[in-house]
Amino acid sequence: MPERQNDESIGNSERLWRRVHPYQIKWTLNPPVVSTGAFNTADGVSVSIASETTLELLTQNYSEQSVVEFQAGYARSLGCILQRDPTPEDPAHVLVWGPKARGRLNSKQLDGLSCNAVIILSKPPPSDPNKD
Amino acid sequence: MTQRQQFISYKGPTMSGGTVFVETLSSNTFATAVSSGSGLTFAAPSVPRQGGYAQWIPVLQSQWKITAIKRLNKVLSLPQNWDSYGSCPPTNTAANKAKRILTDIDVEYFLAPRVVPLSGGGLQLEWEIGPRSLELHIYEDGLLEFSTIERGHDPKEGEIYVIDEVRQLFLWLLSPEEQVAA
Repeated sequence: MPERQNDESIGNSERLWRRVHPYQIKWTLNPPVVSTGAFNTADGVSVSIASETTLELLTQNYSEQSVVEFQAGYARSLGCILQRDPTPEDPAHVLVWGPKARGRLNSKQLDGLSCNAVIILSKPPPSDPNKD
Repeated sequence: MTQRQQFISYKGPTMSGGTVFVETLSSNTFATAVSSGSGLTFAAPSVPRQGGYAQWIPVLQSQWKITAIKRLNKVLSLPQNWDSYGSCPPTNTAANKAKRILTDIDVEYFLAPRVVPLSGGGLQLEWEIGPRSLELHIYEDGLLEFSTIERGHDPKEGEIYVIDEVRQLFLWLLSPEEQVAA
């Protein structure tokens, strides 16, 4: 696994935002909770630094996506590595890395983010595949 | 699955109390399914009208599996970039693995899982009973891992090599005793 360095320019108090598809939120729970699946991805979990963007910019082409928020410091407390990865579309883009193959997060990190992430923009699906 | 959805054009009673569905696919072929009390039991996808023999195959019987496959099919219909970060839909490899788990696991009565798509083309199956939860992570290349979570304890995870191992995880989920998985 390549050695990744935490980007110290991302302060622990920074809020990180991630767009989440409606199928990755447990809408049948009250309140709804984001599934660990929303963070279970290889090659870095894409998030954006809230202070360097806006919800409007983050979601302008993705009206059906919800947005969840967690703190950079909390992700680091779980052992995640944060690295800036600016893109033309999103200069505030950051990748969150875990210790597993291809940078996946481990179960403790996935569960921690799932429990801690707050849904700040809620977009329930017209039809929930997990609600019969 | 697509063919089963077409079994509407005719239905009638069977002698044993089930229901026969027959769909005309073309002038030469028709499809047949027999539904028993517990759900769709046997199906012959395509049978020539004249001189053909039905190739009966067992299909899902357990209600929880039927529900799970329905949920899975909805997730499989996601488009490219469904996650807004460029992800492809669940891969055929992941989809087939998920279907195999659901059809091969020898458990008649259980809860239907929550089916969650993963960025990159994978799938996640989730069950929760009380303070315990079980997740099966099916990655785009077919790699299968589990994660077991019990409130107040650290999660445990590992790779699954044989689908029979999933049954043990189901037993853990149901058992009030100390966790036996991993």
